[in-house]
Amino acid sequence: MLTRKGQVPEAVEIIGASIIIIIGVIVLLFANAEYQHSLENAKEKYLPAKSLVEVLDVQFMGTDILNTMRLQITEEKTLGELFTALPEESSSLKEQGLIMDQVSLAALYECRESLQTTLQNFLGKTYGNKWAVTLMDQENIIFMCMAPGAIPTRPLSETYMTVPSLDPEKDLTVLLEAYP
Amino acid sequence: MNRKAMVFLYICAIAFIIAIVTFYGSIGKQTPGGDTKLLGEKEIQLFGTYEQAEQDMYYIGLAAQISAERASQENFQEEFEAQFAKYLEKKSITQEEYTFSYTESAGTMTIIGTAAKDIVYEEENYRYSLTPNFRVSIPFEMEGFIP
Repeated sequence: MLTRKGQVPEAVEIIGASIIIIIGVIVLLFANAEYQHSLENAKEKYLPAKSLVEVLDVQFMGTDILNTMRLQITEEKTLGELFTALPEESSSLKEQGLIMDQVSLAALYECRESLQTTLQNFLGKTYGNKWAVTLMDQENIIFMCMAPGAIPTRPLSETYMTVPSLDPEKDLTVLLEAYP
Repeated sequence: MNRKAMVFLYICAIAFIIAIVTFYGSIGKQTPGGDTKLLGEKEIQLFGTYEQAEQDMYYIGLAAQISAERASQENFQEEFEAQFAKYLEKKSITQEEYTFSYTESAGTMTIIGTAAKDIVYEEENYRYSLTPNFRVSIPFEMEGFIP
């Protein structure tokens, strides 16, 4: 092809333009890959695979456990208030038909059907029948209540909070677990 | 195209690419809260702090409830405040930083605790504070209670 003096041949122009386009595409691909990497990281961390529990519920169980503590169990007492009285006032809670002695697991007490149903009606909306609430005094399990038919296994997610006990020197720990 | 114009065009194109790379390379640092590889990480961190603050509020309210229920009615105020102070030893606020209001009416004692100091949660990128006021009511049979 003929070119005037001082002008670049068209072939050079086309090659130059192609190189610049390729570089531009590579830059955009890198930006896209970085975005995908960020998205995958977030998914891996916050969305467990094959989980029946919604992603937000897994991450924000702290709100669920607090609302569970505020759940009205009897006319006068919430679950949190009942927990503070354990194990000192366990006989009163037994008489009310809320708890009973535990024999099959390591906990001292477990929930009776009435308390289990109340908790299931509340927690079941989010966790189905795959939850457990445990009250602990350091390493000792004082109380445990599981969803009807739940099988204790390695929890998919868990959270805990501290509640006061009748003894000001000692706090109790409440654990909420969601099973896969 | 003119050879000089072609050189100028190449320079412009390369400068443009460098500008894009520089901009996207530093966009994380310019974002409030700093660079992060995870979407929503800072927001979840903030929500975690909010949850912790709410749980601390709940603890203080429940501790006040227990203290009120366990205080004898004859010496109610002193026993309530002494008991409540023991619970607060584990928190970053003391009983002296509270003002208590006692109202006895129709067999119910209502205590309102007003904190003069906030509980502060210092995190890397933000500061979250709350005023841990509370209000508890318990059955109270002793008439003529004067705080």
